[in-house]
Amino acid sequence: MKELDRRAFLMSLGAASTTAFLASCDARTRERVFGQHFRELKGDELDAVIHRLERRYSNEFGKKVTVGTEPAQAGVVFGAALDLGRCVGCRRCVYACVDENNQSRDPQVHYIKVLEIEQGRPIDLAEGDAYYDVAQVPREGHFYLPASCQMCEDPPCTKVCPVGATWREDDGIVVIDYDWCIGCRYCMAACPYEARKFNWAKPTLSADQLNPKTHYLGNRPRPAGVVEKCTFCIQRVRNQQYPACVEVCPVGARKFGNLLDPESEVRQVLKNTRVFVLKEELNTQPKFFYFWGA
Amino acid sequence: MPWHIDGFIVLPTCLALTFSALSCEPAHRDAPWRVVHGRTGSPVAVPAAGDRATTTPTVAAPGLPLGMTAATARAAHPFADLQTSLVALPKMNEDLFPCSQCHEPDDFDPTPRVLEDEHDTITLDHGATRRWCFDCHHPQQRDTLRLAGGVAIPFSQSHRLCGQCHGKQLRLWRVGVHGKRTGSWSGAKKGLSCVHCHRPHSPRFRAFRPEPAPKRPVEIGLPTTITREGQP
Repeated sequence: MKELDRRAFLMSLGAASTTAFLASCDARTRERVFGQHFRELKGDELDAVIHRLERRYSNEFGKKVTVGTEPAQAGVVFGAALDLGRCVGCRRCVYACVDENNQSRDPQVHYIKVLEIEQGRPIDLAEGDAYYDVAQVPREGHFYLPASCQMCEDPPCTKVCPVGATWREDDGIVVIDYDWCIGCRYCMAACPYEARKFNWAKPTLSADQLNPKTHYLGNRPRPAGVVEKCTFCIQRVRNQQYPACVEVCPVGARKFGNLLDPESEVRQVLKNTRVFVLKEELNTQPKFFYFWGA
Repeated sequence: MPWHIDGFIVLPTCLALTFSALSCEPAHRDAPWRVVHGRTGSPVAVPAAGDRATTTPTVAAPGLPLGMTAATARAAHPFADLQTSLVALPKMNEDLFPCSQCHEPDDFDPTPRVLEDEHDTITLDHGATRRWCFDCHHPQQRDTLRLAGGVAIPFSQSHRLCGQCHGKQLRLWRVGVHGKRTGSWSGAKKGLSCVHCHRPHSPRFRAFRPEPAPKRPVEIGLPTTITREGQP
């Protein structure tokens, strides 16, 4: 038998191990290693990915979970506003968000942070206390500043992602593909607002706590090791509903709408009230506006 | 040499410019809702070009007074956008309403006083030193409310009464900036009357218990390196 030279041997070894790897992969691993980016998925390929996810989540939680892929509507750019004169710091928005968006209960993940700031101090994320634990709100001499993803038009976070797992959609929502994110947390370093949260462990979420109506880019159950954040309840707003935080606010401090519609509440806020954005000097151009109503 | 630029600055600047040039989405698309700073330094919202009327009308639009457009006519409606419906008023107290079941039209004492025989459980905490019952309730038509000029309005239009003093809140409420709206951001919305949230006799919100505070990173077991005045 002709002797194998070293080069031929090594190449055959490489070919054999690759073949063995490919043969041993299940469909899920094959898809994750060789699959296309979500933005390029169309038609049958997209259906296959969604079908696989729905089956996996439904099996995991024991109830039917739907994963939507509703795209951005033409002529819509979402914006939100918050009336600092009305917010009383009750944190109902924080927990409505947790319920709607299937966040991990332990380790705890909250998209919205409410800062209790002493009146007279600057309106700044470096001020105040997010951990206030008082019997009743609002507390005399304080005001409240809820902060979550500002949905920047020029987001620093999407520029630094090394793999393209996060981008700004055409309707203005900055989204993350949890299956593409490698968990490097560079986006968390880039975000000036501390809006992004990391899953240090597998999220704990019971079947009772699960909201089964999900969106691929939104509130579908996340794995460990990925970044997540507010998505304006993409699963709700792309179905014409208000985000959960807007619906639950007991004092009507939160506003939401289409910035391209001059009669939407959020455009009326810009027209009629004093408005500011956080860290304006960074020129991220947030679409989350703070204002004082009457 | 005055034109010498420190290499320390040039290289990161070049990299940053290259990076932003290569970034995927357009950084500054046309944004008609742009917020810019006015000369006074406070932010001023720049409306889209389509918002402003470009000419002063000299001929009245059909069916409307001179100068009023369809948009301003709609503003006279409780909600400026006709897609918003006013949620029905909270249920009236059946023991007390209609008031005319006890009160005759001509039988009233106009002297401001503290009531002792009936309605003594109502504490007026709404300008009480300057007002009393018949400033808002119509003395002759007890099933209605009274505007400043004496006009009687039904309870279903109570926002007009509130708006006499709280005009700014009324104007903002009409366009959805004050108060809560639920439903669909793009379609049918429901708004609430003033009295849904503000009790007319004592409108100020009472303090209530907040939801629990978030867990601190050290409680979750996360690595912590930054402390800020005792907060881990």
